Amino acid sequence: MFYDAAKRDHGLPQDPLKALIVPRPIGWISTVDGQGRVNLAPYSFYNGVSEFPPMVYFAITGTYGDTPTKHSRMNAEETGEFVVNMVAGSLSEKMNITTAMVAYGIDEMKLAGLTPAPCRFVKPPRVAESPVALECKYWKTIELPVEKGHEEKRGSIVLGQVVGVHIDDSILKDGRVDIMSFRPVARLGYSEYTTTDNVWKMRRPDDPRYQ
Amino acid sequence: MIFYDLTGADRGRMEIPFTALVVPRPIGWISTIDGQGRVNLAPYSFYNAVSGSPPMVYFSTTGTYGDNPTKHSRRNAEETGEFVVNMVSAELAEAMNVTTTMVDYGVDEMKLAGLAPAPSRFVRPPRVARSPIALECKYWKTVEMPAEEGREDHRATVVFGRVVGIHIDEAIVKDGRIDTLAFRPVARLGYSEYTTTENVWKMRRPDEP
Repeated sequence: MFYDAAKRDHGLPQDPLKALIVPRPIGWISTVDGQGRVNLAPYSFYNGVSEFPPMVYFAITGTYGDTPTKHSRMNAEETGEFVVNMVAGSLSEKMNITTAMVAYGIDEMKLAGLTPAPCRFVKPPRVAESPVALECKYWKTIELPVEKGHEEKRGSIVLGQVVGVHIDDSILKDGRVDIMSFRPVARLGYSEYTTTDNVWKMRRPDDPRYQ
Repeated sequence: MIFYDLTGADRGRMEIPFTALVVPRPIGWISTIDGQGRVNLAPYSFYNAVSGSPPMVYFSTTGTYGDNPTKHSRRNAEETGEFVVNMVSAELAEAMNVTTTMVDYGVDEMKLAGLAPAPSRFVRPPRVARSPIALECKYWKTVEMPAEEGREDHRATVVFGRVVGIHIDEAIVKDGRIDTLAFRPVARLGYSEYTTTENVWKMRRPDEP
């Protein structure tokens, strides 16, 4: 089947878009506001954008109620800092609690019963239970185009540079990150999630070690 | 916890690749054509959606190798204003890997991997016929990322596009919904590692009625 993405004439009961770009990694973003109040929220429009220097983005799509989906962006812009925490398989339920739409200034880290741990270079705390945390300095925000008739859903992306990395020793095996020891959660379409439960290797055909 | 200071001397000492810390990454298998109509196909794992309204995606080219073949997709997208994102289902993993080969500009990796092209509707680059999903995109803009001192040749650029047309194989639609386990998308981890989506579970927002 084919459909026009602008007309959304897919004929399906629910918009399939998010189920077509999968699996999406989850950036569980902790920030503080100007008063030092903690915010924690998961974003699946998240990924690396550069390796040298290491940089990530997260995108805010849509607005709900008094726009709590924008708190992470507001805080990153106001303080110039954010932290990306890894959602290990064991943390999925707590991550879900932090998706609740709460008023500005409410600490979702506390709400989910998570422990804050101090960062080295930035003010927002990291989630102590997360096996990986990336301390980031805000670089810039890019406003995305407006779709006619959907003006309130205009997206924006926040870009940051990773300046510090925390890694739990227990996920390292022979000096390498052992993905199966924390089984990261990823986002699919609808209300669906997946957990990384298998790993295999494939070398580039022109990699000398491939032969 | 181990801590690495990426602004200082630790940067060189950190043996763990950054890509092992942002996982699992979806794969955008990008087909483009150059000004002469020659097809290019290459996978990118710095790829994802950036907006739902309008539907938009990005892919990032990091690093340069040889005569910069990693930049062919970007060059073509900028030159022609179009690209297509094809889904790498589990059965296409080996074929996708063939298209990671660093070949000269103008060499058709779709042919190299033995994949059949299928026409797109709104854009000129063909889609991979066997991919269960293809997103036809119109190029929006390129944003240059900052350079890292001493690593200027690895400077990244981000290419954004708007999704204008979507192909979905009916075989992966079940009761009106996309059935992820029907095609088991491949995703990228760190090192030479990949994963396949083999389990699906649901979780509703706590404030959802």
